[in-house]
Amino acid sequence: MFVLEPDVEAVTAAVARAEILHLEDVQPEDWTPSGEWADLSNRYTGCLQRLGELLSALGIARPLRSQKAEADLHPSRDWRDIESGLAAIESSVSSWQNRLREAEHRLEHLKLGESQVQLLLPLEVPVEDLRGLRSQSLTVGFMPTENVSRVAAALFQIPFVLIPLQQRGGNTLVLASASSENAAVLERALKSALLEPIDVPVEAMGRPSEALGLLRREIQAVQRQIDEMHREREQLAGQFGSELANLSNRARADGKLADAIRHFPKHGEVFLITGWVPEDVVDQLKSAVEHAAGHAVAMEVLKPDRNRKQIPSLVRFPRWLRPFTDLVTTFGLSSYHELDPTLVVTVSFLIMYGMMFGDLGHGLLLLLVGLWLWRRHAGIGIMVCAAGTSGILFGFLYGAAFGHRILRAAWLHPMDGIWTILLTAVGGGVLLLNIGFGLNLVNAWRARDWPRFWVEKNGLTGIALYWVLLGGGLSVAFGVVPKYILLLAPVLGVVMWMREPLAKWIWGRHCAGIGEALTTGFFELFEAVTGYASNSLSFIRLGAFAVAHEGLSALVLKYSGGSWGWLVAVVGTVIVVGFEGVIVGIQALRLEYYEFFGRFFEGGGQPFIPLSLGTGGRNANVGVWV
Amino acid sequence: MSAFTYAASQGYIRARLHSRLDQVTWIRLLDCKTPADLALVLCQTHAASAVSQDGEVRLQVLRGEIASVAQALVRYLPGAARKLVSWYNRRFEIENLKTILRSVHYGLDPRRAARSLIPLRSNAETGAGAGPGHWEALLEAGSVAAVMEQLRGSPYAAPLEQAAERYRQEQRLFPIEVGLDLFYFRRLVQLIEALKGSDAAQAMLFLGRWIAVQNLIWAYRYRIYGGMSPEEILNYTLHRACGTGLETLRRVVLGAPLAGEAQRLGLHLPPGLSEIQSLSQIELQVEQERYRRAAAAVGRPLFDLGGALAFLLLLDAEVRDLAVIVEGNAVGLTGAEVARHLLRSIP
Repeated sequence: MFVLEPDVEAVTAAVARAEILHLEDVQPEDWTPSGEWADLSNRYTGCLQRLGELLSALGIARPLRSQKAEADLHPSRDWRDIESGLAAIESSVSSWQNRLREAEHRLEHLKLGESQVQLLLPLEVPVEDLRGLRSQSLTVGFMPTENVSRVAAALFQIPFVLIPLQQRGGNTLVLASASSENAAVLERALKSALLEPIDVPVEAMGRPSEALGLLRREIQAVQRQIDEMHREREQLAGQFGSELANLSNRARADGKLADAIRHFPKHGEVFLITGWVPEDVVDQLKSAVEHAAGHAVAMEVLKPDRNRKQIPSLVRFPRWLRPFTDLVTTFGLSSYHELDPTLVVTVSFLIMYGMMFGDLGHGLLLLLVGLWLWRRHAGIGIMVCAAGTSGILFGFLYGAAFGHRILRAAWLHPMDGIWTILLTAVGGGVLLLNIGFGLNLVNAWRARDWPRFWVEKNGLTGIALYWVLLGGGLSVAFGVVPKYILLLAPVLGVVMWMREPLAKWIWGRHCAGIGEALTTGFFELFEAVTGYASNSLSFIRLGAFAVAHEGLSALVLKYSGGSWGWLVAVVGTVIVVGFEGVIVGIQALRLEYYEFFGRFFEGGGQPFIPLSLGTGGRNANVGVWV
Repeated sequence: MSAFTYAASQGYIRARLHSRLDQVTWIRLLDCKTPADLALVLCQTHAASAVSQDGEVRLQVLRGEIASVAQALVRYLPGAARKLVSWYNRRFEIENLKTILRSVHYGLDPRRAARSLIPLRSNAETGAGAGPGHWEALLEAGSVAAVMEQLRGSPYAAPLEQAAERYRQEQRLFPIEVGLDLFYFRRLVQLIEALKGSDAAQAMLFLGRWIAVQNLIWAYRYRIYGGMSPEEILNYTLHRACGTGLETLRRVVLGAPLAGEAQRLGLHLPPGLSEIQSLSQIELQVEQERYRRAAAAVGRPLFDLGGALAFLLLLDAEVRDLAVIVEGNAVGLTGAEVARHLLRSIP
């Protein structure tokens, strides 16, 4: 957007209110950011700092965001009102602040003196005489507590005395002494251990016991002054609280706008605002901008360059799917050219979980745990509830509750149909891998990455090889597929082996020397073929865990008779639900991340964070360059 | 129970390992003649995010990505290991803090300095709470005192405040930077020492040795470059550093030769090197050794902390080697010359 200087703050405010533009820093030749706006931005940062200090000094919590304070923003001139309002409050508060600061400082100084003089109590020598030692070097001061033993270790070459006197926060008051000839070493060691020396207060006069009495009376008097000043603080907070909140909100919103504008490149009287906006709200942005400017604004809308990697990506999730987004974002945010796999991952994760954890009773317990968690942490709670529900549904299919076969299994009892469930698990895995292959084709197509689409291990050639090898395996094992299908395997293998030279020849991609490309191509082909087999067979664990779950539950059931049987039943069930519940979750996640994501998903997307007056933004999904 | 959580971390690591640069890409990178060629090759890899629109390679972006990956990985680790890896991840924050302090101290242009920052996402889990905007705002603070003020309440407030008075008196960043390093490494050593069993052994292998050598290098640097007194060197180094303790440091400050101390740590320096050359040689040897161990470790299932640490070291090594290639390319070194300084061996 090319925005005239007089319109820039109104337009930026409108864009921030709309919360639909993710700003992008660009620096065209001959365009430079405005120094004036950099100064303004710094001014607001300074104001916010001062406001923060005032709020903190008066014990007022940081104000919540207010619509009223964000209306009619003019960052180029609002700072005057904010600074004058702030200065007026500061002048009323500053005398109180200075008095409090001085009193606190004096109190600290006197207390330090008190602790030093206390050490001198055994001496019958006037304090003022100790200040003039000749053959000894004596230093008292605070140093970081962890440095006390370190400085003692560092002084290993000289005789010295180091006495920790008292701790305050992370610091310790120490008294250090050495002979005059070693004074320089002691001083270097203390300085490098970050000691801040303190002097005995000049008020401390006479013998130590007399000096201590004097200091204590002084400390009590200063403490009374400080208590009185704390009461004054409450009055000041009541007097200035609402005005400070208003100024703080306004400074925050103006500061955000000034900070955005300072980054816009400027040429003459024109600012260039560049950023990403969801395609479906381009018109909304245009009308908001033009309404704010009061006239048409030159706006160039460009589609994203396909070769560009860093395009912010946004995904709109239906409300019900949001608790499951962590399943994908934990691995990485989908990049702009990638399809977001949250829906597929959610469905497949829950199916895999239920398959391994199928039991009406255990699923119900997990559901209850999920409901309890929901109140504390909604995201995890909902996920656990869904996993429990999946366990219940598979419990119906397996006809089991707490290890009892109480129902007729709608499908099978895992221990009675081990082969069936293992083969089903592998079949499910093959299906999921093929969904991964499909998603990879879509992602490659969107990115116009043709080698990836056609000849790579998860592209069309790879998929064909996978199916030929699968068909070959079935023909050898069951004879259900004609064996000659295997003849295709070498042809597809050669295409994959020659992947790099082909990519260079057809699409002009960079290729290493032919010998090197063929050598690496061979090993990659080998890895791909073994990967197809191991990735598919990896899903066998779904069936194995289902069988193990039923076996473990039956074991608990077997030993839950007798007088202590109830204890075995309770402990056993807790172990099965708690322990196995976690394990199957991890296994399902592992299958998603390693076997499934490895086929199509890279992640590494940049989150879409629109300019806003608050801290967050809204979600959308397809961006265009403005 | 920890074996199960490590199983999850293994799944994550295995999946993530695929996005590392392969051997072919490294060869291509070494073959590049110009920075533009380099950018072109990187654009075809997962490291494309580090290539800016004008073709500049910004490795800080990749460091930010490592920090994000480590943040995600931490979720799968059990208690003590989680604390260690979270803290280890703070090395990026320390690096950013130093960049900010230097920029503010020397009055550099905040906009230019911001390009040297590692883009870190906020880390609610570790309590850092500092997103990219926050780091950039610190660059605008105007003075080192203002930076410290803005960091009040953060984990770095204490070491910064402790060094504030000396900074005020001397107007040198050295006490602050040393304070930050010691704060970071002391805690790291404590967290390693808190581990038990194979986790402790793996942490010693992958981090402990690095810390020990780092500590030795500091001591020699302060002696050789800084001409510091023994008590200063001892105050600016770690007294417990997984093998380089007080005894070693006392020998160093009293003049022990570097080659002998390196040998005690199992490092053998070629004869005829000056102490300054030996320091860089030691650094390279240890990094190469750590890389080899990490590469060997991720190849086999490790249901302890070793897998996670090895994985993170490999990611670090990748960026470190990329940095060597980028710099070598910029000054016109040949691929063979650059390859000698890499952690990995390229045929």
